Amino acid sequence: MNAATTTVSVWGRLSMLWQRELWEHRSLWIAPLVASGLLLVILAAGALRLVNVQLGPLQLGGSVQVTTPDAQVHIDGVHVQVTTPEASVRVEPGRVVVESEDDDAADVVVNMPGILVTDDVQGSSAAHAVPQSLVLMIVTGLLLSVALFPVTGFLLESLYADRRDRSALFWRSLPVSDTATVMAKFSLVAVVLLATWLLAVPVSVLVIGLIKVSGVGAVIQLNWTAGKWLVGQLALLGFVCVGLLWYAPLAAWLMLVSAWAKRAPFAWALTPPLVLITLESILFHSKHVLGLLGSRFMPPQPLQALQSPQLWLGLLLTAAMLWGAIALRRTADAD
Amino acid sequence: MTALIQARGLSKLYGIKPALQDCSFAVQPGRIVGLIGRNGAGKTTLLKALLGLTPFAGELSVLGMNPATQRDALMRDVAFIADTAVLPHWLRARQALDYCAAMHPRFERAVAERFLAGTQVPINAKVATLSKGMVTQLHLALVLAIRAPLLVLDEPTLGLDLLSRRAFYDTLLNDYMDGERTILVTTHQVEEIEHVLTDLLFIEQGRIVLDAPVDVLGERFVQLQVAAQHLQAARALQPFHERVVFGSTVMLFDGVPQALLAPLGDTGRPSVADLFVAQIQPQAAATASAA
Repeated sequence: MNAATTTVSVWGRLSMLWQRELWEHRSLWIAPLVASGLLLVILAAGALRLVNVQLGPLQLGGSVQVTTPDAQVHIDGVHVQVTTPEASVRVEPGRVVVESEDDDAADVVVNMPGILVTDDVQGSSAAHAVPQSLVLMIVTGLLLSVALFPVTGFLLESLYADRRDRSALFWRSLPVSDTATVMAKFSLVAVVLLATWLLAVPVSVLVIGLIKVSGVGAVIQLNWTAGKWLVGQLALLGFVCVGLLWYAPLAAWLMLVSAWAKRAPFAWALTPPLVLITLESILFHSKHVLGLLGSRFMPPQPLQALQSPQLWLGLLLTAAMLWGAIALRRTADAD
Repeated sequence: MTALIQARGLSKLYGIKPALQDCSFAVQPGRIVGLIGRNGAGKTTLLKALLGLTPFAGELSVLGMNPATQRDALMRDVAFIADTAVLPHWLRARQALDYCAAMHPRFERAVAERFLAGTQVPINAKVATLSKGMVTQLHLALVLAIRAPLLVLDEPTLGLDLLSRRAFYDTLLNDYMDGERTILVTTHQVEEIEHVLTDLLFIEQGRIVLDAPVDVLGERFVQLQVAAQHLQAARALQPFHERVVFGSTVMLFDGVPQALLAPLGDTGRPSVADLFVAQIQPQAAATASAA
């Protein structure tokens, strides 16, 4: 047998496995794109005065030098709280500028309450000042939350849909190991969420631009340099990466149920935890399971999470559940 | 020559129901083997065991590999179409080609495209929009384009009309078979592939009841249309099957020389379908001869 064989690299095979999932589950990439588009369209409509989201012309001016921490600054009715000494606060038409020689000032302002609402300036108009870093967080968080819906659906369907529509035998007739199938599907979630983070980078820049143009609010400019902007984005990336590790057991659980369920994987995903919680409360009058699950759903603080044993135990559990999903996939008879 | 497939004492239980019982057989390279049996006889289970898709007991070697433990390596040298496997409704023909090209080292895209060009399947069509026959054609195009040493076809032409079935078997014989490849095929349309097969494997209730090359069938099996006055003489030679067709009795003999039978009536070579019916109905034959 000397038939020509073509060898495709491991990377080529993996990207085709991902591609295959994106063909089937198009909402994985459509949902974040649609959400981004809607967000930008609404803001652009505001900028073009097509919808009434603008809050009136802002004619402000003046500046003040702060020398004490926790200063309350009022300029033309704009109220700014500055928690660092040695800063200058300047209010210009459309924006509030806080400048400081102290590098830490950036952190101070990043941690400020998200939206500063000024008092009335002219008539009933008000100005909103939003820190740039908060825009990054809100935009990234929004797109990630939108992506989580199709991702959850995908995980529940991942090892179930092709058994239901009886195409599993077709997929398994090709030289793709069950391990490769399961791991490709599992890793696709990370790819989708990281791509969503990447999508949020230009979208947040556009959002900031549109907020400025629309006059909806002033964006605080705090010595923002490309470097600091990059640091902000990378911090979000770190948050996403730790989040992927932290929530991995939940994803693996959905895949395990997907590999196991004969029907209604969604119901099967919810039933065991609910039964455990109920049994525990009836038998022991305690809520340990609920507490454990609840703490798993809470977003992790990246640095704390990396040092917590819960994260690493969760990853062990993830490995065990994925192993189970592969074993179920291997022995599952399609009929 | 070492056998391409070697099975010894192959067994499989579904619960307490035996799906395969002590099956032993060998398939040599370059053969076209018809695996023939009724629904539920164990055909699909046997194929699944060969492909490592279901656990089994006994010894099994396919292309020198153990399907139970080396499925991943085995699938690189096998092309496989299962009667129960359907293509997913969301898949486009072009995507199916893209996927197979990336995933199967022996997939030749040009072959699949050529086969598809001879059908009504549009390259951009989703499976959901194709007729049942066109989906089968797409699936066959994918499988025929895999130049693997072993091709396993489980009811490959299900849902195809006569013309498309012919076209498929012609392609199979002309393009696919090169004397080195081996094909294992199951079908209900035995008559249509009779001339294609080189070997027969009959399976009934999980057991192999006949394992013979087609070219010895004529020497081994004789069909006799018995003249009425020789009925007793013919029965004395122990036919393994007897039936009445249009008032005359037709018997099948295994290993009885044609010279002995010729004086008793018209002898001939039984068709595969006749042999199959006779092999799986021994009780019926016994009842008939007792009556």
